Parts: sequence; structure tokens; C-alpha cells
Amino acid sequence: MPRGARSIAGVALVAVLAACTLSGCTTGEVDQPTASFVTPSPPGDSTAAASDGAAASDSAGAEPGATAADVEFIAAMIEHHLQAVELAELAPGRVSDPELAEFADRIAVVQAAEADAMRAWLDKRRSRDRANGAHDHGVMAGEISRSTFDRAATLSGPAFDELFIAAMVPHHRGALEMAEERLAEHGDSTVARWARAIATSQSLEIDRLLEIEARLRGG
Amino acid sequence: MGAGRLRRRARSAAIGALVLAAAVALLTTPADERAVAASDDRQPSIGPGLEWVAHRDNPFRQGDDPDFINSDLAFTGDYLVQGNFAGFSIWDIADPAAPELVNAVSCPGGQGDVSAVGGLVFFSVDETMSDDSCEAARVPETEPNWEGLRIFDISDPTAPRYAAAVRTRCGSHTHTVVPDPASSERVFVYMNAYSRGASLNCTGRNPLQIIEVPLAAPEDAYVAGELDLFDDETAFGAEDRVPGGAETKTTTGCHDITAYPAKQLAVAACRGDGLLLSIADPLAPAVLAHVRDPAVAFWHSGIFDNEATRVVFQDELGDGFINTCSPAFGADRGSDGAWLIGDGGLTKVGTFKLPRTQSDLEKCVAHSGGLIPVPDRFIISQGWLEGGVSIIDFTDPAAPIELTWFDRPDYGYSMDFTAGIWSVYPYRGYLYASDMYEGLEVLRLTDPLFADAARYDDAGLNPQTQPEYSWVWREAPVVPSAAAERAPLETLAVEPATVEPSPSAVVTVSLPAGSLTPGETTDVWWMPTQTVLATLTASADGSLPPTEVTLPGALEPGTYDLVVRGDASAPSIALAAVEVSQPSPSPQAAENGGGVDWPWWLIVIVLVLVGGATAVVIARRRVVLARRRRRAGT
Repeated sequence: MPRGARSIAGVALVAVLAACTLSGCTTGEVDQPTASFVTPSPPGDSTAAASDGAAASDSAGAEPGATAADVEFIAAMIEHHLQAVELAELAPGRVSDPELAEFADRIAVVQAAEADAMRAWLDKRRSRDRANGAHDHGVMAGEISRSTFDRAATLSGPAFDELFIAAMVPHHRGALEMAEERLAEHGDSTVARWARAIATSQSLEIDRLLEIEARLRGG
Repeated sequence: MGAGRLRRRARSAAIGALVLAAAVALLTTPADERAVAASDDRQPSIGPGLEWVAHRDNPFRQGDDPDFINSDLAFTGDYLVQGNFAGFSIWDIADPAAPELVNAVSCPGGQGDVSAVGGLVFFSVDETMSDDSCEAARVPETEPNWEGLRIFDISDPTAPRYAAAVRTRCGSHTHTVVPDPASSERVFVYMNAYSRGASLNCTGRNPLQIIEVPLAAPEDAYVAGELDLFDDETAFGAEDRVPGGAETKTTTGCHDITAYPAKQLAVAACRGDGLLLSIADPLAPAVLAHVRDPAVAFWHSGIFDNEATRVVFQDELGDGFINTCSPAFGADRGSDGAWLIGDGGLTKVGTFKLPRTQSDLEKCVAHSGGLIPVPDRFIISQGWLEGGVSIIDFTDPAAPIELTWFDRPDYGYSMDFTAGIWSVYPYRGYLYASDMYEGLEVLRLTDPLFADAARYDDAGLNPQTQPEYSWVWREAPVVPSAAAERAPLETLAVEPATVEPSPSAVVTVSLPAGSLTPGETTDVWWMPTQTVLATLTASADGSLPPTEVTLPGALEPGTYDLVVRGDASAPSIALAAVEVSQPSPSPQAAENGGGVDWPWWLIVIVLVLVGGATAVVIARRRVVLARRRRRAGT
């Protein structure tokens, strides 16, 4: 008898859970908001002229989409990132300082992932507008020369560490220059935000690389 | 009845219940909901003990355009304010299962970090805009521009008013409301922003600018103070700039600050640095500890535990536009770090990384979250962008674990900029998650572990201004014994006020209007056993409607305290003394006919005594007579 009662309770629980699933306990309640958009007038001492309320999409339409500067920046930054990845990937087995080893490893995965995200952006634009295709970039700011890569491949221990920092710091400073160049232009706000993010993270890395360098020299 | 037959019966009963439940479910499910559930192939994975209560679309959304994505959340009364790079939404969440969009306020300028204080909304602008109006366009940072804090008055949420705009030199990436301990009529707003270099207004070290907002006159808000949190750092030099003017120094300002006013503390996440601050004087925060950690790439934000003995910092490695939740990145990069707060400053004790590997088409890294008020635990809700929502238990900070999650699959392609859950916070027993493109998700933790957290009826919440939680309902009220102290508390009406000794008794309790905080959760305590007899809700007028409660027994004669205490009005209480009468005769008992009964018992007793005495007398007489006969016979 108790056994039978338990199985009734068990299956009833399953039934309740099934009801939950079907009635939205796990699918959530879905409702289209009936958006009532307002555009408040600016405060009294505003620097802007008062206006009589435009819809959100209007102000969006006024902003430019992807520009040639955007496409050029993204295409160049992908190449720039791949250089950092290439140098960082030489580190395992050659680098000697543990903090620098971890640092190089992080640069390799982060910049490879960022390059992928930027390539996805670029591919979307290129398939949309073939006219904004590949550009020739000439020499990139902070570009790492082929001979530096070759030399890095032959080094190990403190000599590799020294070369790594000596090449990566100017390389990152180059990324900052490229970001600032783009930020002085109009264009897609995604690209502007990425440019800021790249400038922020690479300036952090420059700081840390210089700290490691100072420590290695001091030691 | 045979066992087989019983089982068959059980099975058919269960099937019946299943069919019935399914039918009820189908009948009660709106048609459009079933359609969405069926057509949406991005259904989330939901962990145990988590209920998906409601979803609302982002009213601003324009396809995949990242200029219309949602950002952070703030709560005031029944309203939820959801920031957006194009303005903010006001949701009525009086019924958490059915949020209603009251207004979408169009006013572009990312990232739209929001706070709400009473009827005011503060809105961060950290993109260089053509001016401070709601029709401003984004302009390059090298051109004349405006960025800073916008203040809106939403006292009438159906008619928001743009009350003030306060410009700051590097805008406002995020901001933090710090109450003035000396006055409830104004608040301070910490403007968290950092410079990057070649911009027109924002270069070099960016000081922490502090805005004072008079709550009754927000148009008078102004920059009341500024200070450099990094005085001890080397100043910028020519070598710290690249051609074009961009800076290579990282210590240029903070990304986010979380204040804990009750403890006079704050943690500042400042890109390359983590700080513990004293905010005893909110206009002059002082650095108590300054840490760097080679494992932390980007100090993004921090969350205190309720005791302010531990803090979790988020590391936003990659700034939100890559997937760090993959084996390539490992278990430490882009993670949460748990730190102990001690006399020696901050000590790192553990890390937590989202355990679910995300697709490389997603963005995933530690992002914003808040403390869930569970007694004696350190549990947070946190957003991980497209990694979703994670509920994490840091009670043992060296071994944090995920309790449950809400995680949508990828879009099938990589979104521009960033996407997914910006932040998720507990409010009035529900979790509210801000999804950048998808909108608003309302979730509920169903495990009994969260019963006390669910009972919180917050008046408002800015998650970056942490409240100190206390669980008043868990401790029995303390009742004064002195008559003079008791008298003013004896406002609780109990009917009847006197009861008979009995195994238990039912009485009706009530309080007049104005006694309680309207709508607060209220317990009725029986003080002899320190138990809660009923948990009720105060009426809108602050009264307690007449409610029957059962006094547990056995009720022995005496006087006992009955107490009503509301969660919000605590520690104040309403008191009544319940009298359990002596089992002595009372006039009432006599009227009920009890008076007829006792002489009957007396008669019986008298008869028994008389009968007994007679029997004894007779027996003795027989003995005496028998002795006499024996003597006469000898």
C-alpha cells in the first residue's frame, strides 16, 4: 500500500512538472511590449536647441554606418593582432620568466579571439558591400619585422624574454596609434567601441610588460 | 486487494493526473506564447531550482544594431529602470510575472548605466555626443562633444522629464550613488570613467569626480568634488604617449565602484588596479588597500558579502567582445576572483569561472551581478554576457560553486560589439536579468535555501550601492517586561482577550490603520513558545485586517504575550496580553447551567460519605455485639 501511494505521488509530481513546462514555468511568459517612446526635452541650461520629439530610429538614421575608415581599421587591426599572436606563440619552450610566460599565453588566446570577432564583422560588411573590400595597408604602426620573428625563433631564456618585450611594447603602442586614428573619424559605433577597448587593454599590457622588464633588469 | 491490481490503479490514477495537468496547462497557456516557444530555436538551458517567470522584448531593438542594446538595471518601488545605449525603459514590476512597459525614453548615449533614487533616474553617458540633448548624435572624441550624467525625473513614470545634465571631463562609464550620511535630502554620485588619450576633453589621469544631487532640486546638481585615487602612482610623462597622443599608462581612472555605505566601505575596479576605499567621508574617499594581480587583466566590478569580510571582483578580459569561456582560455582567465578583506588589505583566496563551455560565436566573460541575501552565505547572481546568468556560492571563497544557471545558445553567428546578459540582480524575491538584445528576463529561485532572500521587500535598489541585509523575521521579538514600557506597545486587538484553559484556542487579531508599513510582510508571534502563528500582509492603509490565529496549548491559566511585527516596521512591535482564566467558577459558567451540576456531585459525595460512615458504624456495632455475646457466653 505505501509503495503504491509513493508511486502515485511520484508520477503526480512529474505531471505537475509537465504542466509547468507547458504552461510557461520554464518557457517564460512572452509578450510584445507596446512601446511608448518619449524623447524628453533638454533641461533648462542645455547646450542644445529644444526639439519636439523624434523617434529612436530617427536619431539612429542620422548616424553613419560602417565607413571606409572602419573597414580599413578593422582589416589592419586583424593583421596587427595576428602578429602579436605569432610572436606570443613562439614563447612556449623559449620564454623563461613565469609571469611573462603566462602573459604571452594570454596575449595569444585573447588576440586570436579578438581577430576572429573582427573578421566576423568584416566578413558581414564585405558580403554586404563588396566595394568596401580589401585595402592595402602598407606598413602597420608597430609592425614586427620578419627578421625579428626569425631571431625570436632562435632564442630562448632571458634573451627571448628581452626580445619579446622589446618587440611587443612598440607593437602594442602601434595598436594604440591605430585606435586613436580611427577614433578621430566618424563611423560605426561598434568599431569605435572596439577601438577604445583595444586601446584600453593594450595600454594595460604595455604597463605590465614594462613592469616585468623593470623587474627582470633589476633582478 | 492484490498488489498487481493496486499498481494498475495507481498507474491509471497517475496517467489521469498527467493528462489532466497537460490539458489544464494547454488551456491556460496563451496562444501567442505557445507559438513563440515553438518557433524560437534559441530556448535557454535552465539549471535546477530556477524558474523562468517572464520575458519582455527590448523595446529599442533595431535588429543587430549595437546602438540599441540594453545595459544595467536599477529599482525604485514598483518600477524597474533598464538602461540602454539609446535611452532607458521604465517597467512596472508590481506583478513580477507580468512586467509592463510604462515608457521607453529615447535619449541616446552609451552605455546608459542607470541608478534610481526615489523619482529620479541617473543615466551615464560615456560616448562623446554632439550635445547633452536627447537628439544628440555620436561624434569623434577629437571633436567638440558632451559626455557626463543625465538626470531624469520619473515621479510620473508616464511623463518622464529631463531635469539636468552634468558634464564631466571623461563622461561616465558607470556611476555609483552614495547617500549623504548627514542628510537624506541629497546624494552623491561617483562618476567612474577613465581616459584613454587623444580625446579633446579627457586625457591624462582622470580624477574621481563626485556630483552632488539635491533630491528636491535635481537641476542644481553640480560637481562637488574631485580627487585622484592614484596620487602615489608616477605621473604621466612624455614617454607614456604614442604619436597621436594616446596614453600608454593604465592607471587613469576607475571602471566601476561598489559602495557599502553601512560599512563605510567601497571597492573600486580600476582596469589594472583593485582598490578598497573608506567612504566614511563620501566627498573624500580614502584608499585603504591597492592591489594588482598578474592573473587579472581588467578589474571590472566588485560585490561585497553582507558582512564586508569578502569581496568578489570580476575580470572582464577582452572587454566583452570575445568568448573567454572555452578550454583555450582555461579556468582562471576572465573569471571571478574572491578576496578576503582583512587588516592587511585584500588577500586573494579563490577564483570562479563559468563551468559551461560557450561557443566561439558567443561573447562570454565575467560581468555585473549582485548579492543574494541568504543568511550566513555569500551567494551572488552574475551575468556572463552570452554565457548567461550564473548563481554562484562563494560561502567557501576558496571553493566557489555554481548553484544554477540560465543560458541561451549562440545566435548562429558572432554579434558585433557584445551581446547577452549584462547584469542580473535579486529584487523582492525575483531575479531580473538585462539581456542586451533580447530584453528583460524575470527568474525565480525555487530552492527553500532562498526563502529568506525571497521575503525581502526592498523599497528600491541600486546594486552598486549595497544595502546591509538583516533578516528580522528570523529572530523572535523582544518584549519589555516593565509595565511603563509595555503600555504604549499594547495596540494589538485580540478577541476574545480571555480564554478558558484548553488544549488550544482560536482568537482574532487586528490592528488599526497606520499601525504598520503598508503592504509589509507581518508575523504573529506567540511568545510563550517563540513561534510564528501566521504570516500576513499589512493592508494598504497600514492596518492588519481581523485574522484568526490558533494559540497552541495546552493553555494553562496565566497571562501570555501575543506580538505582531512587520518586516519593514521592525523593531517596533504591537503587543497584546492574552489571559487564560483560572478553572474556578465564573458567572458565565453559572449561566450556562454549570450551577446545576456541582450540587449533584456534592450529593453523590455526601451520599458516598454518609453511606460509608453508616457501613462503618454498622460493622462496628456488629463487632461490638459479637464481643458482648462471647463475653456473656463464657
